[in-house]
Amino acid sequence: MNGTPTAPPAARQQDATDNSVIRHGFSVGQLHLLIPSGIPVQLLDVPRISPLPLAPPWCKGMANHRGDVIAVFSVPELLLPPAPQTTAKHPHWLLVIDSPPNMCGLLIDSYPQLLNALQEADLDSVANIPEQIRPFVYAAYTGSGKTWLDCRYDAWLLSVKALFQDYQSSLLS
Amino acid sequence: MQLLKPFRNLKLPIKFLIVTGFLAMGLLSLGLNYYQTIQLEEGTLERNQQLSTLSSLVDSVTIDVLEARGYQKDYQFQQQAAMVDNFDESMSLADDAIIAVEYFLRTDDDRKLVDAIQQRLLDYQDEFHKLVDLKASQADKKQAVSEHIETLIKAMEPLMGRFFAIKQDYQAKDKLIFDAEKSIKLRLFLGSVTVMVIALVATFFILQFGVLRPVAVIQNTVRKISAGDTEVRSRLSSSDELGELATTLDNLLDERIQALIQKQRENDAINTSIIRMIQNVFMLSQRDLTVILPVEEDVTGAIADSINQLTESIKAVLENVRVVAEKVVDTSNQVKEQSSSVTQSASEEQQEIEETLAELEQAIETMQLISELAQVTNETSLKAINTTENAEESVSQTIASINKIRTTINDAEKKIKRLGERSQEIGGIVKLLDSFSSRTHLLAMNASMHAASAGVAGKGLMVVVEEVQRLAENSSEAAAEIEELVNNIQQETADTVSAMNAVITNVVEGTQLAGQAGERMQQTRLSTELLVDSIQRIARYSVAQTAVAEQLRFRAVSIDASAHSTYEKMSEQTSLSADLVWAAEELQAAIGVFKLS
Repeated sequence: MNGTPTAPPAARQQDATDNSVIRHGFSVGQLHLLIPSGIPVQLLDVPRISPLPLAPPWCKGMANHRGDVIAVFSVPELLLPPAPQTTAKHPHWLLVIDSPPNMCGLLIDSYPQLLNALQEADLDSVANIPEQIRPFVYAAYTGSGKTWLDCRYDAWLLSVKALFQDYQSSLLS
Repeated sequence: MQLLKPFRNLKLPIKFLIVTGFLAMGLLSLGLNYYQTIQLEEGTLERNQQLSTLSSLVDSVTIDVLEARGYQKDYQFQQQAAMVDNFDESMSLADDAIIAVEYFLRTDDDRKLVDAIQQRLLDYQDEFHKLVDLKASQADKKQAVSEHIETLIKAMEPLMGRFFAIKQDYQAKDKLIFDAEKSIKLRLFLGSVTVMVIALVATFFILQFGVLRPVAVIQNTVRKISAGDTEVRSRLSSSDELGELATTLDNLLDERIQALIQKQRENDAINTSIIRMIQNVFMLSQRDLTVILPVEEDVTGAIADSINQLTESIKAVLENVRVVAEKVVDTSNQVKEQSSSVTQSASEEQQEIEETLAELEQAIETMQLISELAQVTNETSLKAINTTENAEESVSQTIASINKIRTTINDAEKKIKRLGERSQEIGGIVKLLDSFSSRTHLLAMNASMHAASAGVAGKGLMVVVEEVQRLAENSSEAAAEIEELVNNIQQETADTVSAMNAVITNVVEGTQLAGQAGERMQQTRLSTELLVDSIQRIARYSVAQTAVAEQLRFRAVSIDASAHSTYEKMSEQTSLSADLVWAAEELQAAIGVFKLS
């Protein structure tokens, strides 16, 4: 996880600057992330989440998604602490990324929007990218007046998993 | 009679025993005679039966032999075997009869004769069988046998004659025996009759001189005593039971006479005591209670003692009466004095009652005035009650109207609340619509993301997705607008409900005030009613009081009358007390007549 992350495999990559390509994105505070293309993504109302003991606050627990048990992480709390906790009183949705066994759920507090005719932007000029995700952002685009970041969610989620394990180890020690 | 003297002293059981012995002896001789007679007759009967049996057996032998002879002749002529059987049978019967005859024979000669006959018959029978056994070819032997048979028959004829004469001999002998027994029987009868006569004569003498004559003497003695002859005695000297009975009777009579004499003496003594007692009682009747009757040892002693005790009791009672009479005199004098004082008090009481009557008249007049005033006050109070009732009714009507208004407002509030509930239901539906639009939006988003993943191929789907998204957005906007409208309605409904609640509160306050007014009116009415009731009671009591006063006046009048009556009664009592004193003094004087000590 050092240096600029590589783009996802070509089979799954789409050129966002192509006018015919439609992307979706969601916002986390002032951070705007593109929903990954090329992998299955679903947007759902937040289901019942079963909390895990000794879990970090950004790990909300486990949820049942059509028979598959997935881990649910709160993106605002993960990327922009101290963000207000995503509770039932705040509107939020569950973004289910990828398919089993790599399926994972991300709690977001902004409704995804349709994006097309994105313009490529200079990634280095984008500021205020959270350190937690920076290593995994590999492209930036502008559209609808915002700068959208494209990142590798699979690698990022692996890092989140390592972060979870470190957190539990620190607690148990 | 000297000979019979020993018999007189025998006890009655022994006499009766002797009599019984004589009678038994006579009966015994008669019995023996009768027994002998029976014995002789039985012997005669038995001999006759034996003779008859012997005669029949002899006849049977004769007949059987003749039959056998006949069968023999028949056989000789007919040569039939049946004749032989008949012959044997006849001979057998004859033989049986001869054997039976031997039982009835009385002498040895007769037995020898019968044995000889029996032997001859056996020989005859043997010869006949010989004859039968001989064949027709043995005529010579047959002839010889036949001749032998004839010889036997002829030899048997005198024997049979003698056999036949046996029964006649026996018959003659039996007759001689019967005659002898008859003379014996006669002699026995005469002897027993003689004995019986002697027994009866002895019995007669014993009973006559031993029982009947003494009984007659005793009976005669008792009859004379019953007639009044006290000197008569039986004077039987025999020592048997009847003699003892006569002696006892004589002794009883002697004792009876002595007792009578003694009783006569006692009666005389009692008469003397009675006369003396009568004299003393006469003295007692002369009021001299100090007399004491002498207590004799006879039956009058108890009477004298009882009279003495009675006299003592009377003396004690009279003494007590005297004491009581003195007390009665004293008490009567005291009662007379008290009656006089009570009479005086009754007179004074009568005067006071008359004064009380006059005051009662005045009180009655005053009460009548009070009653009239109470009537007037009662009428005025009734008017006040009517006025109060009218006011109360008006207040009640006001309260009823206010309650109606409140009810109407409550109904309106309920309806408005239902309107609010309906708007909430609408809100719920709107939320459902919003949820539908949200989910539709999500669905459209997902479809969009899938279409985006599909690349160029998803462009057509994107169109549909966009439309769906637009519809979802429109629906969401409409739901939002509706929600806003519903919220506005709910807000206005809440405001209306608040306003109505305020109105209800005011109405309730007004109702409470009206209720309080009604209660006050009711209290006023109740107070007025109480006042009227009290005045009515005052009026009633006044009337009653007047009536009571009137009754009191009547009572006073009656008390006056009773006091007057009491005065009169007391006057009578005073005079009666004087009479009582006079009577007690008279009683004292009467008791003083008795000499008690």
